Amino acid sequence: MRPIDPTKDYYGILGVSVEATPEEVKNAYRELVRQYHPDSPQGDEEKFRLIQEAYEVLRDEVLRRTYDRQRQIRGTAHTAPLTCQITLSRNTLWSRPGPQMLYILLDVDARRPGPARQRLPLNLALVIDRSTSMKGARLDNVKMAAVDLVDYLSPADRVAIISFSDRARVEVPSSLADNKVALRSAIMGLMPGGGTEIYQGLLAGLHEVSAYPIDKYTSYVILLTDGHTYGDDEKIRSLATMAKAQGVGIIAMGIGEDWNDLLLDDIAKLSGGVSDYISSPRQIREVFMSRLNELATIILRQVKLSCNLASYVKLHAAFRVQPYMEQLNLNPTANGELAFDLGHLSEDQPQALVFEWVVEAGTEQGERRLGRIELTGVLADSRESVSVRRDVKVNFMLKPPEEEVPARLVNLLARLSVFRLQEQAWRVLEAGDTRRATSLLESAATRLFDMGYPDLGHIAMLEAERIEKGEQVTSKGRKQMRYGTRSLTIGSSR
Amino acid sequence: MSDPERPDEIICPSCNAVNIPGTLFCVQCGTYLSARGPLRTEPLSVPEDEHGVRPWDARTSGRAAPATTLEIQILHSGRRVLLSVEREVLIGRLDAAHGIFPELDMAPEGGLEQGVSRRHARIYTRDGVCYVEDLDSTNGTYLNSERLTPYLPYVLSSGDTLTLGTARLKVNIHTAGK
Repeated sequence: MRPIDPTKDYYGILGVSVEATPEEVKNAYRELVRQYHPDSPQGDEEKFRLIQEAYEVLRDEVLRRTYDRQRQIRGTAHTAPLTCQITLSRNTLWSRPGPQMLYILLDVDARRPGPARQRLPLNLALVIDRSTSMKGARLDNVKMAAVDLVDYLSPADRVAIISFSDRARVEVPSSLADNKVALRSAIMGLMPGGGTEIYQGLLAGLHEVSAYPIDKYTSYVILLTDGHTYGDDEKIRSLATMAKAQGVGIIAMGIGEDWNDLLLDDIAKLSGGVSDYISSPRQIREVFMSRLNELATIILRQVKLSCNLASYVKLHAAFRVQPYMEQLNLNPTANGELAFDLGHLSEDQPQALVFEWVVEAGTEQGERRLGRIELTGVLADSRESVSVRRDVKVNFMLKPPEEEVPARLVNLLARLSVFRLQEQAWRVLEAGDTRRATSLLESAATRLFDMGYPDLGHIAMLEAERIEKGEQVTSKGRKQMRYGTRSLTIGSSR
Repeated sequence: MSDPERPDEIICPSCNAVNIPGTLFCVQCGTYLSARGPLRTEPLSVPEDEHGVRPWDARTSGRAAPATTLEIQILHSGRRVLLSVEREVLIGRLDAAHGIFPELDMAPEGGLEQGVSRRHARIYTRDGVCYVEDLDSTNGTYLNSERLTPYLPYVLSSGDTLTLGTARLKVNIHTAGK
């Protein structure tokens, strides 16, 4: 393997843009290599060698990233801060009437446009459940995680500490993280006792955070709970919506088995944050630090996606598939565009989205634009807004040729379909349809065994059996399925 | 009555649900609906009969087109496979979850450990000449001792040795009428 040479313009050698998809890189390479192969009439050994060198780097995700970074350090990169690559399940569609399915994969990535500046300071509120059930290992580990967080913060960051049981208590009002001794002792002094009233805690946390301007800080409330809250679910949901309107995200972490996963997922989704399932107290610190690191490396905030579709194209479904899977909520805009909030984009944490479009063809043959996708976001350090626009074009033909579906898309869709099967199972179960829920979970189990996830497959089988016998599903089984399947795409590379 | 000019709806082979054309995973049960149908290549452990011909080869050899048959011997296991190159032959590892069904599946021979990619290389004929092309595999393909440039066709001749990762294959080409 040759070393990467950042003085060479590999993109230029292949004649592709810095945002070129792996497919585009491959196609460009295929053409050039045929043209310049030493055995061909126009052969050019030196050029051929360069083409191969460029391709060896750009074809590999890791090498390409390394190369991009080296170019960036040298100041020779023309890095776009927001990139979006589109992959379609087909590039040709039937021109005959009748609906057809088209899958659109969007790989969205943020890169620092220049050398890293001072990061935007964090403005956090830690909202810690200190109900009786937290007593012991749970609260002890939460305390350790909170102390880790305090140690991680720099003096320009802000933090507030709130504990809640039946009522909320502001242990430390939002203050600069320069007096770490006081923060640590406040955390270590938390004593368990009482019930779980999430609303009060969340409200106090939001109050502390929203007192400081969101353009000067990365503002988040971090909620840690292990229990069910009663009767205030709707109030909590509207609080999450309000948080988002104020530019504050909520990271909701559930510990153990007894919390309401649907509520915590909603809090995260409505506020533009994330939810986490922490099955054992030992994982608390690890999950905590990885989320904190994500917040500290945010490049773009308030990332929004909108699609403008041709009249004969309908949006069927929209999902985030990486870093984890979830259905995206539609935010209809005034001008009838379909818009989605994607939250923030952190360094080295690209997002992948999948859209299902149903194309009601019956149009003339030839190339058509099915829609335009636009992504916008705000750079965290300079407040500058950036956007990228992409057209989705396909060719309508009488007899489209057989096309190979890009492997990465198939790979992601296979996992997404399992996630959807089990999500649908819980929904129909809620509605009382036990037969359908059983069969959906069985299908999910079959797929999981096929794909090489026997552990999750077994859980699905066990829960399906319980439903069939008329028993309740276990709270643990459901969480393992929901959070296990939504993470199936972790690590599937581009 | 299905209109031959119209794309067909896809009936899921596993649950019979009807999916609109272009659907890749059954909406009802999540089964992969491959564009090429749920056909799976037959197991390739070819019993060595006295003619070295499998039933489907016999059928195709009756046609007018000169049938070229590829005989590939996997050197470390000794398995001999006969393949028709009327259609392209994909060499790789079977991965049903991703819809990869190679004509020559190296998975049972320890293909993974030997560094064979799922889509590793392909062999095809043009105007009676046999070509091999590396499909940008992770560990590369060698023709005798030459490393193939990905996506570039190389002429394949009888007696050549192909190396995929560390797996070595001996190739013999039989053209009908010779």
